[in-house]
Amino acid sequence: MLLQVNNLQAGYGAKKVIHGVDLTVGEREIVAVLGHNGAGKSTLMSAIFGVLPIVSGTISFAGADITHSAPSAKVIAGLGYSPQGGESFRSLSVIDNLTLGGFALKDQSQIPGRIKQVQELFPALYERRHSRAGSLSGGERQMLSLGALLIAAPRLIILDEPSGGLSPIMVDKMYEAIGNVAKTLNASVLVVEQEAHHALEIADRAYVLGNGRVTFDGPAKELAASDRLSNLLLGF
Amino acid sequence: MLLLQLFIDGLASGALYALTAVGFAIIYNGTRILHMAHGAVFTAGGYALYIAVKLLHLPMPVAVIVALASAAAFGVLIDLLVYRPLRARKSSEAALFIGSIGALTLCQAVFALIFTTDTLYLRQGPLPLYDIGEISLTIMHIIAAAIVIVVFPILHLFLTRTKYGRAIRALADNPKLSVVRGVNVERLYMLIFAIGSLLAGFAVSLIAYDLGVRPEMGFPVMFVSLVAVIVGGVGYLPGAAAGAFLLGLLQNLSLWQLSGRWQDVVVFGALLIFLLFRPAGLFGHMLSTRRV
Repeated sequence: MLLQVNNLQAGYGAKKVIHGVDLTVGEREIVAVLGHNGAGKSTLMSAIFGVLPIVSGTISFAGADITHSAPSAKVIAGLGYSPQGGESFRSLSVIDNLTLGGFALKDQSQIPGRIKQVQELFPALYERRHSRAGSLSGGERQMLSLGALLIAAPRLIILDEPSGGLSPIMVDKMYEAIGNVAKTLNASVLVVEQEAHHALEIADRAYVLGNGRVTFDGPAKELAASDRLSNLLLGF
Repeated sequence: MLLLQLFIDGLASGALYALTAVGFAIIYNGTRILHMAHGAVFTAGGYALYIAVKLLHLPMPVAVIVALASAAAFGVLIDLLVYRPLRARKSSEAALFIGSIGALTLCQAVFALIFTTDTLYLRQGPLPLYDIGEISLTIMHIIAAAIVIVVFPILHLFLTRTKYGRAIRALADNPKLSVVRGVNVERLYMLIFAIGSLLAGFAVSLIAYDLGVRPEMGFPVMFVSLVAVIVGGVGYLPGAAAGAFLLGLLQNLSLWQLSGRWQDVVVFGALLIFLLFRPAGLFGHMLSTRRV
């Protein structure tokens, strides 16, 4: 297993949001995490990435224990995280945003070549390379968010709601891109979504979270075909 | 040609204020700390220059390097000893501000205990004057201009072209995403304090050489910097520099009609006018988000 999360508990201060979650992601596997609003999906992702303190449980990545590693160590180990909302450094140019995606890399000379690859994947990021990130459209900003984390050549890409704020056509394109990226980079993907349809289409396996616990864990096809899907997503 | 002379003098003091104000602004934009102890860093640089010149008898260029390094180290030390413990307790911006005033006051008292409250002079007598037409320049005018012309473009290149400069701008823009990108924020804070303090070190080296060193010399400079940042538009570095030049000019041009005792009134009068009529500052309209 590339990523192994064991009995993870996390939250904000005294308020615990994640109550003992087990989750795994294999090599080159695409895993979806679904659930209703407030189920703890985003909290789980920030805890895995280390932006949020972990109460108990362990996280291992590529065989090494990273439960309490700093985010910079996780980036170097090969973990890439795109937080909710397609965040960017809004006052900085697109090219600066991409360059910062490789901040943690020991060998900074790799960055220009990788930026070129990302711009081939997302031509809009080339055309608008000197624009401020804050002036991009919602779709371009999601591409920038994904593109920036690719600069560090991650082995596991964690995406929090990559469809957020996008038009239906853009969501299709975004998911196509995610599928392509995973294949070209031989990377695994852990994708969080509220809207289940697209994520289940590209995912190998899926988890459903409800109130900070795993309520379903199995093949994505099985979940997509299940008549329990809507009930699970609503948290029943 | 008194006015022209006052204009030239105003540019020279504006240049010195700009160094201190831009240092203050880099620290504020990057860390959200209203670093009033920047004034103490300024004074520490002055005493370091005094020690290097008068006690260690170092040649001037070496002494200036000692002063610059001391200012940078002193700024980092204040972050480590005062602000970092407060951050660790998740203190509010207000608490950090009070902490910075405490640090400024404490440092002034300690400087007075060690060096007495007397002004310590690095040299005697008036500086030689170079007459050009009807205006006279001293070496201070020339060096102030030279520092600004050299230092600000280097700072600009650093912030836009280098890994850590880019990270400083990123931190000012979005601290959370900086962490996600693998930026070690605490270590970047040390770099920000070092750079901001280094800029104050340039200014104080000139002022200390020209006018000597006193424990409370950083206090008025600190307030002019704060006003310059507000006048220029919070969050925009060239705005802080422009505000500093504006205040330097106003202070000196006011000498045409007013006595020197009115200089603080001129600075705070400008602040009041801006707060009333242009609260976002000279360049506030150019800002959508804060940045360095």
